[in-house]
Amino acid sequence: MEKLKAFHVDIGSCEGCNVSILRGFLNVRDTVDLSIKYLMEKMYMEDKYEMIIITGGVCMNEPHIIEKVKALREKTSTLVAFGSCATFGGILRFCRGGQEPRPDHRNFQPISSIVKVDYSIPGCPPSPQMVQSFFKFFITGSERKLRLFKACSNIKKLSGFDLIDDIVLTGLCIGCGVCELSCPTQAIRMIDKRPNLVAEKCIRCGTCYVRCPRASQLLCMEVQA
Amino acid sequence: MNERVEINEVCRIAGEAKLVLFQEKEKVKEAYFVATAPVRGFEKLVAGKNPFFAVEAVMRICGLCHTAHANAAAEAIENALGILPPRNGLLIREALGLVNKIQSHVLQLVMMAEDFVIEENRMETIFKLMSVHGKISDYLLKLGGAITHPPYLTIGGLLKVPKESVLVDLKTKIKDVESSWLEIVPYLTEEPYLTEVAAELKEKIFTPEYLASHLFYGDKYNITPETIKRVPYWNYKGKNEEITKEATIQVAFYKEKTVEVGPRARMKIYKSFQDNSLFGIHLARIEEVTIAFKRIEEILDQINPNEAFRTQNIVLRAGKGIGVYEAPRGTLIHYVELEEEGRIQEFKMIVPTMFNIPLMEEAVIGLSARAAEAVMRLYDPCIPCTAHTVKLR
Repeated sequence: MEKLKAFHVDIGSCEGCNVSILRGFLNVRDTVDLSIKYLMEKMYMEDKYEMIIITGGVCMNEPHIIEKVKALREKTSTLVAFGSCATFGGILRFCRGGQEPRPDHRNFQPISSIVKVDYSIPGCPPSPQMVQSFFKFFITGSERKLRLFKACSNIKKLSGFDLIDDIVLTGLCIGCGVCELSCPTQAIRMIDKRPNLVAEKCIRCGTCYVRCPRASQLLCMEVQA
Repeated sequence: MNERVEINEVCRIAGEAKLVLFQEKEKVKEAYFVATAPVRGFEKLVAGKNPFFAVEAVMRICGLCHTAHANAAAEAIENALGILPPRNGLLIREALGLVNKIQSHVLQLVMMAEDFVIEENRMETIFKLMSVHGKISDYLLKLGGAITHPPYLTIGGLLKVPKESVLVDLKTKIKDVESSWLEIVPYLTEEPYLTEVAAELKEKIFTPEYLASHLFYGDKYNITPETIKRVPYWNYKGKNEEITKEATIQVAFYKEKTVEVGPRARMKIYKSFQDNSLFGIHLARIEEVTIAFKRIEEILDQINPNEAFRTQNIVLRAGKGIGVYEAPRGTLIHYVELEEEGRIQEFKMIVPTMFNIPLMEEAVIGLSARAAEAVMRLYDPCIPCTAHTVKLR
């Protein structure tokens, strides 16, 4: 079987996602041929890739990064946004600029604000196991399992506040506690079987929303409709 | 004749950077290391926010030295509030920092393999290194709550205490991880497995001044943080503006001098390390991983699960504080100022790569272009951290 030809590009992330991708990729290297900066001898890019994975948010005040993202879109049929910064903005949603030596870097957006994204994998960072399963689902073409990633690609922001608004306040919450376990900052704690959001700790990564069995169902229904 | 070599995107370093070299007779005469990652502005980002958010936020400056930033920020805020975590809290914090140091160093060695390890052994070495990385990441998951950005690490100590059975399990497994690390060491250090680039760097003696505050953790009383000055990269270079204007970083000086920070500095100051060549940095890094394993073992023995892990009744209030921590790449300094309700008023940080960049450019003079690129990697620059720092008054 021919390997899936993929390319990884980082446009200003914290590198945490890159390490996740590297670890996940090494476990599926028999089926995937991924060019990642950590293992490349020289930067080299072909014209076409089956899949391009982008990590990091787009700095809207740096025209060359916007152009780069647009060019990457042209090079592939499957563009994947990896990590919360790339999918929903994540911690970059808090940026306000004004910092030396480049105070003009004020606004950061997720990739889906610039170009159409095919799959979004949120998390801060998503685990290496997530990378492995994503590649596996993609290669075997199991659309049902990829549906959630597809659904995320249409969304530009998601946070613990949305979880409270859409699931807890509407009475859909079943008190399973997955949100508490999935939160990368321990911002959610279950009190009387309902999540309580410690507002100042939420970094808007959206992991809780995607992991919530009810919320993810809602997201997938939107894609199907 | 000056020949110009330009590497638009340096591979196998953390972050985006450009390298411009001027050569004469195949030898580098001048080097420009220009980081181009966007400035995310973390000091401004945390202003007006709760200090507990600040610790979570600064962790996300860097996905390689997350714990280092969290430790330095927590130290600074504790200094401002006038509290000290209980012994268990401090020990776990140190252990998390060391686990992170191993993670970061091992990843750096993976990136370095292309330059130093001969082709026959290269991929095998990389896989072995990554398996050590995976095993040690498990320690961060169990002690800190995640494989990157450990959420249990917070102001006053540890948010959630690992179960006693988990601690026992980790203690028994550390020997196993250590031995799989020691197995790889010869492939990274011994003559028959090394490339020509490694041989060239062994010849080049480079002895700058060193700065380090502690062998494992960091101590603000061992250095004088007030004497650190920073300038934007283009001001430091002062010429060739068309190259330097793209830079998004600043460089730092200690007592008006360039200093090297990082593994070799720590090993020189606290462990009487001997090697003066550029390759010595590589050896010091490997040595540091080995002693980090020993220290983690020691710490796991000392933790008493029946005692407190976190300061009780933390009250937020106004104050100023400094946190100094020895990150994998060198001395990391955080300054914090809290306003009267205890929110962050000002936050500043000095990261190790800011000290190292002037030295990286100096060290490569006289080397071949291929080796010069390797030296950039050897110093392990961390662009995500460096591009997020603010000018000090």
